[in-house]
Amino acid sequence: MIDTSIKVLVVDDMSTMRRIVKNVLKQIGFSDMIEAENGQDALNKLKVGDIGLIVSAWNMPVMQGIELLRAVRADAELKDLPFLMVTAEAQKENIIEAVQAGVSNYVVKPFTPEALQGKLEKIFAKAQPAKV
Amino acid sequence: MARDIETDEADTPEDDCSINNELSELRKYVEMITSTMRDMEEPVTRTSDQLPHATAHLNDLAKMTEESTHRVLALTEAIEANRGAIQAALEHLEEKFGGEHATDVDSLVELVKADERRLMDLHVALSFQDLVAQRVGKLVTILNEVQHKLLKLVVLFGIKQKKDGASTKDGRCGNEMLRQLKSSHPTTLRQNLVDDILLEF
Repeated sequence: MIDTSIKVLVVDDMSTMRRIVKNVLKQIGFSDMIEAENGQDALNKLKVGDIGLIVSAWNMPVMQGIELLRAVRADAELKDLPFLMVTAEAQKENIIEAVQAGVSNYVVKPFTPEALQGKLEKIFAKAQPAKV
Repeated sequence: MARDIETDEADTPEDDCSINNELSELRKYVEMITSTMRDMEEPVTRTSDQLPHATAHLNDLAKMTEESTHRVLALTEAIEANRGAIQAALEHLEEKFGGEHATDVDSLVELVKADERRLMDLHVALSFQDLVAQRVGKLVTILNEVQHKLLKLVVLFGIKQKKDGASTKDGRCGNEMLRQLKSSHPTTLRQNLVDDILLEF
């Protein structure tokens, strides 16, 4: 079950992609969403707090998505945040690099709304202990 | 022993002739290279002049697709808002005045609901613009690298008009981007393959 009450940080340097991802998240049920243009911008917004999920692109100027992921996992306060990578970089080495850096899941562009929703369901299923 | 060395080092007329012949061949070869370089001068200069225009066109292309995509996104958002309002109104009608027309209204609601999925698919399909912009970005980096190398040739061949070129860092970046451009061909992994890899961890 996806917790749609949390605040989502959508990180992508392309404004069209931020808009598309936000609209898909809105359709899933999220209403509290903020945007960042790159990893550095995202880190600044994460420091303000209150973010419950990061949906980030890989290729961005200033700070790439993979660097943002490493920075998040290295931060004691942020390390447990769910991190979904949405990217066109889908070589095996990219995926392994992201997994080793601690990505929660990985969506390949172009994606379908169902693919994004499915990945979020998996992320939230892992985050919540199974009900007995 | 000393006599042997003297014999080895002595220049005979035959040796002189052979060296002259080789020097003559070498001179012809250098002249040919110089001539080839002169021939290359004009096209190399012209190409290096044109590359910034090609880069500008590509950047414009990315910008234009971004702006157009925003327009289409805005229109689909407006249509979705209308669709949502029509669905709500129909559901209200069904609830209030359904009666004998309930089936008709219900089929209308189903039709309107079906468009929700279509609109979202249309919306997400516009993510092609991001992929186009990424490819264009990689092409621009490659063009910058080519321009940098051409300018290097221009300088090496002694063509005077040295211009600002891409930095060495851009060059390294160009190689990386070229690798990524190659890797973004259809051999790139699809979502199901990505999921298989993720399952291994």
